[in-house]
Amino acid sequence: MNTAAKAFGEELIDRYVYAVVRQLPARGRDDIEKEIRSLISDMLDERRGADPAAATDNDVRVVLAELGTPSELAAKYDPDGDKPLLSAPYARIYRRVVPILVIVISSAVLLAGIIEAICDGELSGADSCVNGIVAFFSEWLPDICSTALAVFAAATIFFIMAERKGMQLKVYTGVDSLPRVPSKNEVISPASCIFGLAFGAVITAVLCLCPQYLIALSIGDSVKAIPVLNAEAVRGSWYLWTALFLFGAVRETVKLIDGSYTRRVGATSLAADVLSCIVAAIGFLRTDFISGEFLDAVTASVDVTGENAEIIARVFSSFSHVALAVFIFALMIDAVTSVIRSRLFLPEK
Amino acid sequence: MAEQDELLSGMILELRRGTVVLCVLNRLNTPKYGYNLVSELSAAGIQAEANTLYPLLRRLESQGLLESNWETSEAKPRKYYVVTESGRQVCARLTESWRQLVGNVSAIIGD
Repeated sequence: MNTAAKAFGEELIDRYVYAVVRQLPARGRDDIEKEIRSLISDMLDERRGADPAAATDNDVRVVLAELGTPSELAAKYDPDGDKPLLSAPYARIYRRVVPILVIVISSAVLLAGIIEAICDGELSGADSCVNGIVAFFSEWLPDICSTALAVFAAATIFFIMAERKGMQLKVYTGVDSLPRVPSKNEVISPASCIFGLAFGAVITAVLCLCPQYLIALSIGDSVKAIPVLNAEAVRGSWYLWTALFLFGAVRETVKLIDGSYTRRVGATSLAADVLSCIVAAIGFLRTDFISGEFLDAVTASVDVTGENAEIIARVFSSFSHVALAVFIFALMIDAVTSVIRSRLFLPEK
Repeated sequence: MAEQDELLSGMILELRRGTVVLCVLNRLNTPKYGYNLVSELSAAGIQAEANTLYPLLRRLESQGLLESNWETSEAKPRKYYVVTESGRQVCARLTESWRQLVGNVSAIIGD
């Protein structure tokens, strides 16, 4: 190259090589850089034949054009770089499950917001209705959006990790791993899973955001609304409700993916139900979530002088224990049903 | 016609794709640097673009079929590739499969 062209040509080569290697993983980058420089040099030598020193700026341009754009060359050196984050089998399940999770959980937050707004009277009255709706959305929209984003991000990360770790979501790799055709009572309808998710999400949203609006009506001389829950204690235990919801969400999501009572559904349901029982026991026994006002009203309305007086008095004096027992009973029914239907502990057919 | 040409060039590309590995493994029984190999293949009528061949050499090296060595004693540094023992075995089996395939395909197309 002549001096001016050499300086410009070399700069062009430097820029091209930099543009290629910056797109590559750090490991092996130096070696590839040396290799590309060596290749460019050989190609320039061939263009100029006996006088390689006479290579011009145009020769450099032609050689670099022959090598393709930096992105094209980088893609050839790193074919995995263009690999999608989620490949076919995982992406199909992801597309089916994630929109349901995002919509259901965001809707639950929206519903909790509506309940609170109605109970606070923000949406009543013709004059204040529009202002109330505007105020409602300005208050709740950020929460709904951030919930949707958080669910989307968490689910996406889960699926990416599942693929990277080779977790079997519903990927049948050969004839021997084909799923058994489920009998009629082993099929799980998507609607029941969506209902389970929605129910859990609504209850969790209400408990975490506006537990004060779960009320009972006392009908005496006048109708009186009595809060059932100790709002402060319930709201302060948001992590407990969130954990319970997450266990339930995992259980319903696995059911949604498999679509029938597979062994995986049985094992997941059993684990989720046992963990839920433990978390519920810790929470329910540590704090009294039932409001004193509600207990007093219930006790006063029951005839404590009758023949079952002692039993009734005992039930209402330890309402948290009774609630926990009912909760655990419901979970155990779910666990036993799942274990039996999935034939978890029976030998494979 | 242009559509047919495009279709045909895609098919030819598919046909060539697997044969480049076979040619490379066969030619690298003695050490050669990348551009040297491009020139040799080109002279033999096998069109292999340098921007495809260099990454291919690295891939074959990562698969243990080739080994490389930077030669710095010449006027400019060059990376020389040569086939490994494993690469030699794979090359022999691949060549055998190629011969069988050519025979079978020839029988079908009536060569």
